[in-house]
Parts: sequence; structure tokens; C-alpha cells
Amino acid sequence: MTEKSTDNITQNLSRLKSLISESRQVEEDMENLISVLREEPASSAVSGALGWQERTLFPSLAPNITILKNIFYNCSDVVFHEFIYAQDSGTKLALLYIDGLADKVQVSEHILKPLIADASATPPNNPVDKTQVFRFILERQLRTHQTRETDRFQDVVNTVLSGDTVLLVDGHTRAIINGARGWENRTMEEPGGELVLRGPRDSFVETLRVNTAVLRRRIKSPDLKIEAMTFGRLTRTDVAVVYVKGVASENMVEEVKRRLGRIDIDAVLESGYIEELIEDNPWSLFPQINHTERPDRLAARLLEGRVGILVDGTPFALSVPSLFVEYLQAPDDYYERWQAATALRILRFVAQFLSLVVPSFYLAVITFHHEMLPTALLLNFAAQREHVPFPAFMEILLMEIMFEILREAGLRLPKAVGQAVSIVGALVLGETAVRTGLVGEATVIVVAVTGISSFLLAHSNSLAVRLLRFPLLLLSGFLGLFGLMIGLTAIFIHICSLRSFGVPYLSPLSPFTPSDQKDTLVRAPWRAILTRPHLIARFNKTRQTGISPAERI
Amino acid sequence: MTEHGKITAGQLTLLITNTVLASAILFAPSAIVKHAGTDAWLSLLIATLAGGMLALLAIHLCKLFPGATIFEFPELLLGKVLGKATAILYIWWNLHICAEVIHEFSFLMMTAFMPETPILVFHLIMTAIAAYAVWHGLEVLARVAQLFVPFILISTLFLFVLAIPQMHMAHLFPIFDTDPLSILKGSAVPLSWFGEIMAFTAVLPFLNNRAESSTRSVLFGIFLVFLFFLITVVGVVALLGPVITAANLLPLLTGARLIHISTFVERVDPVLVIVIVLGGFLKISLFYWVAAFGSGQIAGLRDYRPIVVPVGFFLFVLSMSLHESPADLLDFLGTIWPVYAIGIFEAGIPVVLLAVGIYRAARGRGDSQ
Repeated sequence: MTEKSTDNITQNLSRLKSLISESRQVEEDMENLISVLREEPASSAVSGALGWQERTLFPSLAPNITILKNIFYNCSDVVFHEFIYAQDSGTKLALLYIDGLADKVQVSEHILKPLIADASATPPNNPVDKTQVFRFILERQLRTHQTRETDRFQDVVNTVLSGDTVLLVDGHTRAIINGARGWENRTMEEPGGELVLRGPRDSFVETLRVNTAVLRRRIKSPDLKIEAMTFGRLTRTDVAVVYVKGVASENMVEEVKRRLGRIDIDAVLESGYIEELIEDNPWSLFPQINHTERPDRLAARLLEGRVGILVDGTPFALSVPSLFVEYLQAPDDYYERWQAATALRILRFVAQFLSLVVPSFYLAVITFHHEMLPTALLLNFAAQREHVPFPAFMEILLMEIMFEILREAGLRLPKAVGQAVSIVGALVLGETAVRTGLVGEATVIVVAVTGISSFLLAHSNSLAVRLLRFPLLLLSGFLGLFGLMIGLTAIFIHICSLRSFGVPYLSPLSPFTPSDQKDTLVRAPWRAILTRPHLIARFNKTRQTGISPAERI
Repeated sequence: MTEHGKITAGQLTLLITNTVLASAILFAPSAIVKHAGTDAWLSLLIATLAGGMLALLAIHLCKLFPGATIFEFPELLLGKVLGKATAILYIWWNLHICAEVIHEFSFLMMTAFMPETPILVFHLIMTAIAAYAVWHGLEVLARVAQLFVPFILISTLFLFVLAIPQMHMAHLFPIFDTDPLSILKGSAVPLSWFGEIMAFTAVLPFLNNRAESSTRSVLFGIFLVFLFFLITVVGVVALLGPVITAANLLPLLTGARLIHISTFVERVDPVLVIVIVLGGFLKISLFYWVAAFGSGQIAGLRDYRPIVVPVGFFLFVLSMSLHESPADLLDFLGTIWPVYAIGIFEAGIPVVLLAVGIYRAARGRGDSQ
């Protein structure tokens, strides 16, 4: 009897002890919690001194939930789901995710169901000890594809914001991050800006993971590295640096990562932000970092030793280094027969030059160098311009500006209205302007040639050409061909001085690399393109060993 | 002194070709033909051979002190005072050539293109655009040359192909009709142009694989110069005849005006002038760079770029005040310039420097034995 009562007393005592220790624990937690909350008022949870970022989770659930609720104060899309663990009614669990970013099916089927409903998961005579709940859930119950542990508030908050689902377990200072993301994607469509007649029709979308997947499908090699980073203090945009290890030079990859590491910005909404933050010469009009929305194109660039940068939230992937000649090459060049591809490439070079100089050359000839024109044509021009009220310079300038307005209007307008613009452009500005005598016919031809030529170029490059046309026009208006030459020389000096991630912008034309000429102006037959670009893939140049003459049929 | 740029052997060849040819093809035909008549090609051959010797002299000087420029090694050879004085002389020479070339091309622009525009405009613009190139350094200059020079050479060739229908082969005869002294006199002016290669003593240290390629690429450049020089002189004489060539200020331009193919290619000379001015710009930029870079080196600056603009102003003023008239310019180029340039800068000082260098080397070897 006494034995039993002493037994009882010791049992009660131990209970009391544990109660006291628990209450101490609670007291400690409360103190911590109060200190955390005092450090930062709830309203400025994100932008303030961010004391919670450095903190680790508390052992009991209640303070954790309080802090997280304070952090996600007024974020109506954050779901806190508190429930009782089916295996042990003494254990409370909390599930945290963002409505719309987490895959609801996965959350209910693979997380909630096993934890709430599957009571029979444990052997009846061996109930889960409270201290083992965490391991048990992590190792035996969760059915999500990816799980990760953390003990930091920062990780919890960031992963929840990225779309993961976080499970907090009472009595444990750790949380389980479940990769159960799932949100609405735009379906993959044909790329809008880079159309091809022959070639794959898929394009990147706004979700990074989808983009890395299409890239991986093209390069099925462990050497395709996809390194993840995050930029933007507020947007926390996921960015991936992709390259083919062994083809891209180590220095280039390091340099890309070093420049990316310098970025400290609140938001990255498009790859253009990153492009401007890491380019070599921010003052230049010429794009020094190329972008594409075609996975095949990015894959081809990676295989030449370039480094790609994929940004979440945009279908445009960056690639560095980028050379001047890249903008005059199209993906079809590599898929169509090489003779036609070569001819088209040369045509694009000519078009680039034409769209830059045609208006200024015409202006210089009709104002300064009449002698260059055959007499009949000269008389014709003079007759056309007889009734034009403006000087030739003003006439061309106005028409060029008008053309730019039309083009911009066509770009921004809804498709249904777009036709109106072309009618107004063609009829009113072309036909009627000439008939009323506001401009000469030749000027209309010149502006048309300029405009159409510029449509052959990649958009980012044609922007530079469109802008440079105007200073050239001014120069040749003042100094004739001499002015044009001076302007072109200045442009060439500038292009020659540019580098994109250390590679001269005008290479392989200048500095001249003979072996790279097979894929510059000319697109040599695939049998002959044996090497990668020399200045880009510095250490691993062999593309193919070549077919021996005997094997050729 | 920071010029981290490296140039390739091909770029060096093209720079040399352009440096000698740019003003030569404009003025050479009349300057040579004046003395040598129909045997101008012989004068040219002699000038090329002598020019080759001068180039070898420059290369040897550079090989004595690998990595050092003409503004550094005289000090090592002649001591501080004399060395600095020599370097300063060379800077003056480069400035002088540069100003002369600016003057030549401004004169060309004014006569050929825009007689009513004040010549000051051309002086200013040429200097400004060259300053922009010099600011970017030798490497960029070499890249621009790699783009432009082949274009210039091909255009020149194309011009003479177009002019073939207007040529009269009879103009080229008789040969071996001129007395040897006149032929030698005729070779003086082209030689002074070939001797401008001495300015490359400031460029050779920046060649990327100096040891193997310097001699070959310099000599190949001289060969290219000879080829195009010959085409120009023979072509112009065939077009105009020796008498008109000798009497003309700008015989190449006069020759180009004769070209007409069918009814659509009538007057190509504006295009020709543009192409030639392009070459002139490169030549100006090169000497400008050498002068600016050299000044920086002598003054011990870490970067020569701060003095690019001051040097540009000096060049502008100098080129404006060099000659009073085109006749004065041509007279100066034909009579004083060869003596002044070859005698002092292109052969005189380099020979002394090389002799001292070889003597020092020999004595150094003697001491060590």
C-alpha cells in the first residue's frame, strides 16, 4: 500500500516537474515572442529591420504561429491550417501555404490525408513518441515528391512565398518544406517574335521550371548545369544560370556569376533588368546580351559555349557573350539548306547597312553630290522636288519620324485596329502626301526601303539602327557624304571598342578569326563546321571530328 | 603606362599598309612622275627596297629592347638627357606627320567636295574623330583598321578595274628613258612615306606574338603597299599620261572623274574621296595615338587618355597653321619633307641608335668574358 502510494507520489512529482519545466519553456517562449514582436511592429513585418530573418523556430507551435501570422499580416492569400495529428492527439500540426500557388490536390491527398485520416499507420502497441513525431512524419507519412527540413523563419517564409507548403510540428524546432507547387501556366505557344518556317515551334513560358525542362529535353547530358539564384529583395525572382560544363569556359561562367552577384535591386520583373545590370557598356545603343524565346536557339548557343540566364516570370532567356553578327543570324539558317542560308545571311547584312545609310546617302547625293546621278534621273528628282515646300533634310526627317510613328502604332494597337494603321499609312502618307506635293516620290521610296530593310533584323539590334539613322541624317545634311562617312566611322569605332563579357563584339570579323568564318557571313555546310567559335568556347573547340572523304557518299 | 591592348600580326600588316598608302596614293603619282616620268615604277621599286631596309632597321631596334617603345629605349642607350631629347624629337615628328596628314585631307575635302565650306571645319572634324578613336586605344584602332583597310584596298582596285576602258597603254612608254638621277630623285618622296614605318617602333611592342611574326607581317605590309602603289601610279599614268599626271594636284581624283560605265556609273569620285578619307582618318589616328601615347610615356603618366584632348587641340592648331596654300603643301612634301623626314627621323637617328645599341651589346659581351 505504502509502496503504491510512494509510487503514486513519485509519479505525481515527475508530472509536476515536467509541468514546471514545460511552463518554464512556455515562459521562455513568451519572452522570446514578446521580444520579437517588440522589435518590429506587425505592419512593417517585411520592410522593417527584419528581426525574424535571423531567428530559428521555437519548440512549441503557438509562438511560431503567432510570429508567422504577424509576418503574413494582411496577406489574405496565406492559408494557416492548424489540425491535430491523427497518431497522437497530443500533437498539434500546422500547415502553411499560399492559396493559388500550392497544388490543392497534392496538399489534400499527400499531406493532409495521411496526417489527419490515416490513424492506422502505426502499429497499435507502439504509439508514436512525441519526440519522434517529426521523423515519423517526414520519413513515413508524407507522400510529396520533394521534402526538405529547416529550422529558420526565413526559409519558412521564403519557401511559402515561392509556392511550397510548410508543415510545422508542435514540440519540434524544425519545419518540413513540401515541394507541392502548382499554379496556372500559360501553355507553350509558337514564339511571337522569332518566327521560323522550318524549326521547332515551342517557346519558353513564364515559369522557370518549365523552361529548364524544355532545355533539359534538348540537352540530355549531366553536363548541362542549371544553377539557381534569387534576385530582387521584394520580388525574390528565381534566376537560373545555365551552361554546358566543359564547353563553356570556366572563366566565363565565373564572370557571369560574379556580375550577377553584384546585383542588389528590389525587383526583377523581366530579364531586361538583369541584362542592363550586367552588361559591359551601359551607354551603348547596341545590345551586348542577346535574348531569345526559342529553346532550340538557347540550346544552340549553350552548345557553342555561351552561358544562358533564365529568369522566372519571362519567356525571354538571356545569353552571353553576344556578338554583333548574332543579330544577323536566324535559327532557320541552321535548318535550311546552307546555300540559301548563306544568301539570306548576306542579305541581312546588306539590309542592316541599307536601313542605316539609305536616307542619309540619298540626302547627301541630292543636296551635295548631284554629279553622281545620271542626268535623266537627276532631272526627274528635281521635277519631283520642285513643289515640295521643305528642304530635303526636313522632308526626309519628317517622313522617317512619320514611319517610326506608324510602326510604333502598329505594335501597340490591338490586332483588329492594326489594319486601319496600315491603310492610313499606305494610302494617306504614301499616295496622298506625294499627290498633294508634301513629299517627293523618291523620298517615299527611300523611307520604305529603310523601313522594310530594318524588318529583317532582330528587334533589339534594329532599335540601335533606327536610333542611329537620325544623327547620320543630320551629319549628311550638314556635310554630305563626308558627314555620313564621319558618322559611320564613329559608329564603327564604337562597335570595335565594345566587348561582351570580354569577347570583342565584332569578332570574328575584327579581330579576324579565319576558322569562325564558316559560321559568320557564310553558313558553311554542317559537314564543314567542325569547331565552335574560338573566342567563346576557348578550351573545347571540337564540334565534330568530321566525316572522312571515304565515308562521304 | 596603360595600354593593355594587343594587336595581331594581320592587324599590324593592315595598319602599315594603310599608314603608307593613305596619303601616298593621293599625292604620289604626281610627286614621282614629276621626276621619273614613265619610269615612275622604277623609282617606286627603289623606294620599296630602301623602305624595306628602313623597316628592318625599325624591327631590329625594337628587338634590342623587347617590350620598350621608341620613347623608352633611347634613354637606355643614350642616357637620361639625350634619351629624353630623342624621345621628344620623335613625339614632335609624329605630331608633325599627323598635322600634315590632317592638312592634306582637309585640303582634299575642300577642293574635291566642298569648296565653299571653311577648311577649319574639316580640320576640326578630322581631329575630333581621330581623337575618339585614339581615346579607345591601339587595340580598337587596329580592329577598325582590320575592317576598313581591306575595304579601302578592294575599292581602290575596283576603281582601276572600272577605269580600264579609259586607259591608254601608250602612256606608259617609253621605259628606261629617264636618267638614273631623276629616277633616284623620284624615289625620295615615296621613300619618305615608307619611312613612316619608323613610327611603328611604338606599336611593335604591342604585337601579340612579337618574336615570330613581326618581321614577316611588316614586310608583307610593305609588299602590299608596293603592289597598290604600283597599281595607282601605273593606273593614273595610263589614264592621264605622264605630263598631266605630273602637273596635277590630285591626279588620282582627276583620273577617277574619267570613269563612266554605261549611263549609270558616271561620277564615282565622291565615293573614291570618301574611301581615301577613310584611310586618311586611320593614318591620322595612328600617328595621333603614337604622339599621345608617347607623350604620356615620357611624362610618366599612368594613362595617356587625359592628354588625348590637349594633344588634339595642338594638332588642330598645328595643322591649320602649317601651310598657306596647296602649292606650298605640295612643294613642302616634294622638296623639304624627304630630307627632313628621312635624314633625321626615318634613317638618321635610328641608325645612330642601332649603332650605339650594337656597340653596347658587343662591349657588354666583352666585359662579361
